Amino acid sequence: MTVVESRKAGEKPVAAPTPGEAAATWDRRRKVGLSMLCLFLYIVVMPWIGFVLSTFLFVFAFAVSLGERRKWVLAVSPFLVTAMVVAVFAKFITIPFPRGVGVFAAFSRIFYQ
Amino acid sequence: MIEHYLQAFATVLLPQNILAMCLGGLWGLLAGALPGISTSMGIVLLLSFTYTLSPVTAFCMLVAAYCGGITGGSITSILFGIPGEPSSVPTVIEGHSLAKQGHAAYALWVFLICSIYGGIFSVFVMMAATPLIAGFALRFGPPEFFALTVLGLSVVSSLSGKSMVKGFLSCFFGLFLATVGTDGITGGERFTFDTTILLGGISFVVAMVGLLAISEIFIEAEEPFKEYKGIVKYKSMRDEMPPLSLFKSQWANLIRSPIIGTIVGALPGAGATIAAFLAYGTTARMSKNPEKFGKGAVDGLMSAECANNASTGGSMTILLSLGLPGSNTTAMMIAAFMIHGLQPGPLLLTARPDIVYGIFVAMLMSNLFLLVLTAFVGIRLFLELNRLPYSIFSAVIMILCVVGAFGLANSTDDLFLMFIFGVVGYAMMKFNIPVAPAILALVLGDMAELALRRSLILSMGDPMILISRPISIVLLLGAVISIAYPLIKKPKILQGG
Repeated sequence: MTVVESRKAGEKPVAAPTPGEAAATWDRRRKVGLSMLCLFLYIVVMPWIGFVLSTFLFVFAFAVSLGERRKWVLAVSPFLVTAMVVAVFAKFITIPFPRGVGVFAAFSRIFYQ
Repeated sequence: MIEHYLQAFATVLLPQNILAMCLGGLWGLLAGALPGISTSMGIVLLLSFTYTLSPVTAFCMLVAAYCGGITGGSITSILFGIPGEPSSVPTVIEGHSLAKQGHAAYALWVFLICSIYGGIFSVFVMMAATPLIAGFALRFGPPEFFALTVLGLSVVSSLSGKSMVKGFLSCFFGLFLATVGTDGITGGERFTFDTTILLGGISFVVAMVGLLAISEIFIEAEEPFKEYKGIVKYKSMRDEMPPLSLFKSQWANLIRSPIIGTIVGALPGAGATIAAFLAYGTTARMSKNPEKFGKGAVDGLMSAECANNASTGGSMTILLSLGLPGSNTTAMMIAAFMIHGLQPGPLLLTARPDIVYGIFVAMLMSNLFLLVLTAFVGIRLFLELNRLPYSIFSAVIMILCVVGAFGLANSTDDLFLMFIFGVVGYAMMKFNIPVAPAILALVLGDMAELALRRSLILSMGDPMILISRPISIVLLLGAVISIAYPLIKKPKILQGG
């Protein structure tokens, strides 16, 4: 019923987006795409370079892709966040995160067994 | 019996038990609030701390965490729109809308009062009616379970907002997802694409985290850069206390919802999530202005919160009286009993009344402590999170989701699944397809299918078994009504879309 009635009501033509709107849309799509890419890379890379390093890089990359530009935030947060997450989940709750391969495994072992 | 209660009060109110309840409650609040950690996981994580504690102290901590978990899921739901628990999804729908309209404190008060009320209501029911509820739940065979899941899924129709078609689309998508994996009865593989990743099916935690939390972050990534996550204007809690008249006018709701919650919680396999959705849907159905649901309907919020907390008492009742888990989280508690050398079940009440009555009292006190803890500590804690730079906050949520999804089965494959669900959820939200029905369908789909097939096995292939038993007829009728009713009230719904 609803479909038929809406067809009867007639389709209203939608105006083409102005250049300003188009640019804004493209910008938004780019931000979302970047953040998706960050998450994807984080997941892909974790078994290779270990949880600690990949989390550290992720925080940095994700913040940048969302548009964060403040230097102090970008500099300090990766350390803080990684430290907290590792402390709570790896030490306290001992979830066995991926340690990574080769030299990265050694690096991870500095933080947890 | 009176002396048992006196004894239990005396024990539970010892300092170490009070401390245990506070710590457990806080932990529960945190676990419930974070989307990457489910309440069940929170209980499991807490178990290892309770090895060395005395049984009563251990259970004080665990039941406090249980109640806290169900409560905590709603704080981030209201403030940030991110459900910490599947049972908080209706709270996200209504509470977060209210928050976006500037009434965050109001929503928080309503949620808190209703949650604690629901919790305490169910504790009294638990105390008084343990044998009665057990007897009723025992009469639920596979056909009744199937009917219950059909009812739960048809409640979807009233949650779909504008378009019932999209709601059912989402629901069937969720049902499809539930079929992925190994067939429960014959062991055949379905939709596994010859990989091992999907052999165990799609864990609903992975799907929930992806569809709701990850996709929400992606959606919010579109917004222009915000320094701090201050979208929720928050007046002081004192300014927005809900008036007594609100509760008086909702008296029917406040009686109905905890009852629904307790009964649903008592059903083995059905827990806080179904309770919340069922109560929410019932209120939506009975409301005189259904179109405000989805945009901040206080009565919907009240129903959902009363019911999901009330399910705790129902689940614990079944656990204590029958030894059956009333919900996922209660299943973890069975482990706690074993650890302390106790056998949950009918004999426990006579063999160790101190434990059982102690748990009754502990649940009562936990709810009261939670009221205080949440109001003074919990909410403030989450508000401080507002001060975090927003980009970091989003990154932390993502990481928590990743940790949660990974920690479930120590599998990086689950993380890929979670990512895919994040993208799918983003697409769904862009097309205005509601995500909640898909999640509910995924949760219920397994149970529904098993129940259906067991029923058919019982009846040697005769489908009439599904509609030949009184309880299942009632439930299925409810399902039919809930689908047909919005269609009959067509004019109002059509105006929406």
